[in-house]
Amino acid sequence: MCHGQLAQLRERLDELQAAGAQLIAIDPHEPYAAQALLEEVGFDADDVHYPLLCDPAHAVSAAYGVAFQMRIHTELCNRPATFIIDRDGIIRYAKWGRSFADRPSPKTILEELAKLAAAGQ
Amino acid sequence: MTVARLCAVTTRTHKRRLANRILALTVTGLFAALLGSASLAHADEVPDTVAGWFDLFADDWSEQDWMTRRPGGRATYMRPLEEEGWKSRWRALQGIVALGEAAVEPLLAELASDDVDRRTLAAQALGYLAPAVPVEPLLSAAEDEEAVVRLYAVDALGMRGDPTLGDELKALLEVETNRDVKQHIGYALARGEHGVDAETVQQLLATDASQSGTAAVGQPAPEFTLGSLTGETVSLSDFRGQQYVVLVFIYGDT
Repeated sequence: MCHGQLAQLRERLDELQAAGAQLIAIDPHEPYAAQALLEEVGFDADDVHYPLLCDPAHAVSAAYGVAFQMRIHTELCNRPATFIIDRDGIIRYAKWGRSFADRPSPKTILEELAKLAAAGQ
Repeated sequence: MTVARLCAVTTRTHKRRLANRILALTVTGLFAALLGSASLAHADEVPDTVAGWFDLFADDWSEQDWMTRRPGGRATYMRPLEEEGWKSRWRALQGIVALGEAAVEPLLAELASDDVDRRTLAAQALGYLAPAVPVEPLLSAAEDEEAVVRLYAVDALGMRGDPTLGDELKALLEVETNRDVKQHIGYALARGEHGVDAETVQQLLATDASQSGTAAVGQPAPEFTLGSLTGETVSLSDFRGQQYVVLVFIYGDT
């Protein structure tokens, strides 16, 4: 469940904030579908605590090289991907998942943030 | 946010979005002019008919055998964005949708094609034009032998924003066997009177396919502005000079 990564990160929001980071999630559905999916996995949109953005035209996921078409699931969708962007808007870390379980752990993300801070970026 | 509150927010913006949509479909020539891209096989071509876009799509799409095959010969059907035929398909979708209502009739004819890729593209494009699309051909396409065509057809039915289609959608749900198509029938039922958003159409038209897959470490992150589930508008640049951004893309289905 891809929302699993978001649930993990939600629990580490304090640590992300302390590291100077804002978490943003991008979902490739229109709000109706995104809402239905959240409810399906037991998430309340009020209880997410970070922006969950809707990208139904796949415009942003295309720019980030994340969208692909997969006819087994019969639709256009996103591969799981995580980016860390510094205060100057430069991408400093990127992970394009090769499978749906291929995601960085919150620990990895926090370590990458610490590296950035140490490097003065 | 409860579903009721979400619906209230979307209803408020619905009329404005309809107005925007008409505007979006009126400036088709402008968008068509913006769709060029140097890296594609037919980059300099901007057809002004649906047939022209389908010819371009069929040409580029068949250039490469994109299906990677697993041991045992099972197709994985995964087509990444960095692949040129895919970008051509994207351009064709944009070009067709930019033609507006004039595209509807030829797209309906494509729904009868023997080629599943043509039927798929037609059903997908009809979704973006859904308010101008008659119900009957979409209901027929929702019974196509290929799940991918059924999926985009039920999306298009939902994108019409016609709550009176509830019974038809429930009848489709009764006989549907594909998990994904069932899920999308659910989305169509959930959206009720909310047709395709003008902002979604505008995002589709404004995207430059040649820029897809350009994000790279050490390079500026592609800027974006998107609406959130709780009704805010968020831009990446909001955080410039303030905070790091951890950007997570979710598939969202499974």
